[in-house]
Amino acid sequence: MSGEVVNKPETARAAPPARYRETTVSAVVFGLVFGALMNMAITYTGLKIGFTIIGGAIAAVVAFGVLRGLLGRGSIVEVNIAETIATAVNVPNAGIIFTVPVLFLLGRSPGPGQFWLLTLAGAVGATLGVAFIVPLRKQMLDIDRLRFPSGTAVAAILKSPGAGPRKAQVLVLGTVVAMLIYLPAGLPNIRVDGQPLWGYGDLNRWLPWPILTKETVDVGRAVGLPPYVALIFAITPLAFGAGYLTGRAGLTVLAGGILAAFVLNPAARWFGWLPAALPPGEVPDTMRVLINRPLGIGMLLGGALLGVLVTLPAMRAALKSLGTAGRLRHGSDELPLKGLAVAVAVCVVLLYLAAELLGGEAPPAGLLAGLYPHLRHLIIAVVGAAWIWFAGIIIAQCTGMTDWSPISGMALLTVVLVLALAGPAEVLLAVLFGAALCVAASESADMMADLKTGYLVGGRPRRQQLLTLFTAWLGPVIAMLTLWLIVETNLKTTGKPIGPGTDTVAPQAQALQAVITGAQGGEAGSDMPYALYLFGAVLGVLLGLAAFPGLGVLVGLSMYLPITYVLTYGLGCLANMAVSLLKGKVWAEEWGVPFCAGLIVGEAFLAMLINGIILLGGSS
Amino acid sequence: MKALGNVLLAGALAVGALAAATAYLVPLDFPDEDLAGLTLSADAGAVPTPSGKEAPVAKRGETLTPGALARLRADGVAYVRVRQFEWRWWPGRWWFVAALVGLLVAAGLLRSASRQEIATAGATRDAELPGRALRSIKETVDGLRRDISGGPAAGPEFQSLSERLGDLGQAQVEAFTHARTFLTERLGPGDLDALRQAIGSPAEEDQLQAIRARLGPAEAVHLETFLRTRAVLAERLGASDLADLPHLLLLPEALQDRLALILERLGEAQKTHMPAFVEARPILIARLGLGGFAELMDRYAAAERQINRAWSAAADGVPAEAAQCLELASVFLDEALDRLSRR
Repeated sequence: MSGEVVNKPETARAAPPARYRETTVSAVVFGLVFGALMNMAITYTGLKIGFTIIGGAIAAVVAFGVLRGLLGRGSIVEVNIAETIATAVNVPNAGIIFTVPVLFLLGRSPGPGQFWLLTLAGAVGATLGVAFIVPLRKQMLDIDRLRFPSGTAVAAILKSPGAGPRKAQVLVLGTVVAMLIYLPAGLPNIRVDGQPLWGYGDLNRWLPWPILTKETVDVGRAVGLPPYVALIFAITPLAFGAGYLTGRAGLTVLAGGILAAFVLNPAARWFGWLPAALPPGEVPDTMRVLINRPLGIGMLLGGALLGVLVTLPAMRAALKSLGTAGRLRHGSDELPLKGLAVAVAVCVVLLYLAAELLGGEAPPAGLLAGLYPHLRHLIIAVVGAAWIWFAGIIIAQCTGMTDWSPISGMALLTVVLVLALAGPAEVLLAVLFGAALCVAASESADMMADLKTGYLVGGRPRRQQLLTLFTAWLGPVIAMLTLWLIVETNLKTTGKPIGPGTDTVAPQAQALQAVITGAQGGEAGSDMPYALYLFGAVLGVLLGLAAFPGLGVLVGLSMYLPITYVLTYGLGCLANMAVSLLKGKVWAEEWGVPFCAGLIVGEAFLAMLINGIILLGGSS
Repeated sequence: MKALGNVLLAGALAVGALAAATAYLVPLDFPDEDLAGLTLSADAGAVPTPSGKEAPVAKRGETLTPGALARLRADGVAYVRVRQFEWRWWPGRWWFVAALVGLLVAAGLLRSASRQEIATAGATRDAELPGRALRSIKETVDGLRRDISGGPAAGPEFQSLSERLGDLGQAQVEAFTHARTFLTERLGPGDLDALRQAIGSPAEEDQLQAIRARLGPAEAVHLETFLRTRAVLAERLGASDLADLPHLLLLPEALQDRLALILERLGEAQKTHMPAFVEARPILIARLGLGGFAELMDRYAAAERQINRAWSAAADGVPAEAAQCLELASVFLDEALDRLSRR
């Protein structure tokens, strides 16, 4: 027997290896269907209650359930693809509901042609957002290694079955804890017979001080701080989890919040810089609008600008690597730069055409008033696209460092920029660019968070990028059609398209309405505190020079965000540091990450569930 | 120096922000001709109303006139907030300039402290930390490639087996291990279980037939090789030796063991060596410059992504993909080590 002929080892080696499921029909179909459903539901609830959900964690969990549970074949990277498509289709709704409804609020309801041009602008924005940010993947993820807390949490969810039953149990525990904590914060959004359901605010009757609202705890009031010093924590396990996932690096976010809430606000009150008739309790909100927001956005812009300049060598190396990747023996894992450049060029042409068709509704005014109309629109399209690129970088960086994005602030600046260029009467044009920017920025941030998840689970970036590029445009189309449906229904039932007096009050668009009305009150942007933006930018640049380029971005972002969320987020950062100190860094990462991923999933799921109930008419 | 720099940074930032907050404030001690015509961007002054609440003396959007200025001064208002900005009436302008100087000094102190820290780290054994971490990752990956390959050189038990059986037996071991590798990757857990039961049990021949049918004539060759060579080895080794070799028995656990090995070793590297390498960023930037660091991280990140993919594939029960990713990771790690060695 010993002399018998045996197979050559090479024959066995040549056998085809088992295929690892990644980009599959089931993943793509799931992503499209679930993304569209989330988009419609969130567009409605966003117009109703004023906030939206990216939904990455929800999509990941549901994709796991469907692809792995029901179909019994989903791999980790396949679920990642499904989640990537679902969020790409979902996220643009935030950009649409923040901007387009303002036209209805201003009594400038778009006609059918204008409606489709705005939809086109949204679709172009979504594509631009992806095409602009893809070349920066290496820079942000491979070199800067930004954390993207939500992306990290989604990766923890995807990896939990392979990481062992105990980690999966910890993730489930986090989910349950988050749901229990968030339930009394979310329930009052549901009204039965006109009355909100029970929530945290109802606990005040048993407390010595009324320190609870439906979603905040006013610790400052409990410890006797004056009302203009806002030591108020938002009851949001999601922000706590994101803070924990960011860890010590997130403390700089807390620094900006502390500067605004505990230095600037009290000082403005003490030194008489605020209207004397202003009630002390209104100081934080007034200061946010008058000082902290413009100063914070300025810092953010300055910090981001410095960041781009300082990291130019690294960015060049990353782009060079992208350019040569296709010629390497291992092949390229990225979309080719040439293809992306073509996509950007097509998008800029489409933006120009939309500007041509929508612009000119008023006599020439603004900074470009003296120019030939076609040239004016071309300049606006190019400047708008360049601004979208820069804003996309800023927002992706902010999301990468903190999980928060200053989209609303960027949209306000965009609208003011376009009104300043084209004249204060060109509202349609300004909203068109505002919508394109908002959609692009949210798509950029989401793309990068999905790529982070992909990195952590070993997904192929090229596939994620390609699928997002080809599906992202659907998001604005779905959001616009949902908006149209809501407007038509409102007109039939209340006689008003949207806003006060209807079920969909569009709180975010009302903020934009105030800016546009202010700009139209006189010269474009007459109420804009440009000097504060400039001084903020100078401080942002110098902060970056002193420590690291992102410092200005982080401090600026937290000055501009509501302090309640910043404080809860800061608690998460401190919790990470405390756990690392007590149990060691490895333990804090190994068990803290799945628990905090659970916190994010729990709140997001419950918020989605509550939104679903509201959507089905649980609120009056 | 670092502590001083941080304190100065925080202080200068606070002073700068406070000074900036006064940018649109105008002191009312300027003469009327300078102030008349300015537009208020916030309410000013406060007078009591019959309802007990206070009402502003002048409202937002109002243009200042000598009359309005007189009313405000009479109410004791020191500053009003206006839409227009001018350097000369900005109350905090010199504080802002001082804050900028403070930030520049803080930047100098912090950068100098940082350079000193890196120089100290470079002079101590910390300088070798990134290289050590990277080599440890490479060792983990290469160790796994060796241990899960299933080839003749795989695992100590196969090496000792080859030695005990001599040259002739070694050929059998080689053929056997490759056929076994093929079957563990090609067949699902159910078929592997059926195969395990069928080995040495004529009653289960129909199960073997079913597996042959599923494999098809071309691939069934590997099954025949496996059965034939396993019989030779079983004859030579005896039952006690076989019991010590789960791979030979083709227990389902053998596949699970390989996957568990990948998860365990890569999981450990993801917890220890990989964060250690990434945290050495300042040392690496100081040594390679930002461009060199970017080139290094480009290769390292490519390797890390393959390691992460290998982990995922192992968790999903696809050893072939995991093995392929480890091969690629090893290549990328070599490239990263090469870049690290360029100073």
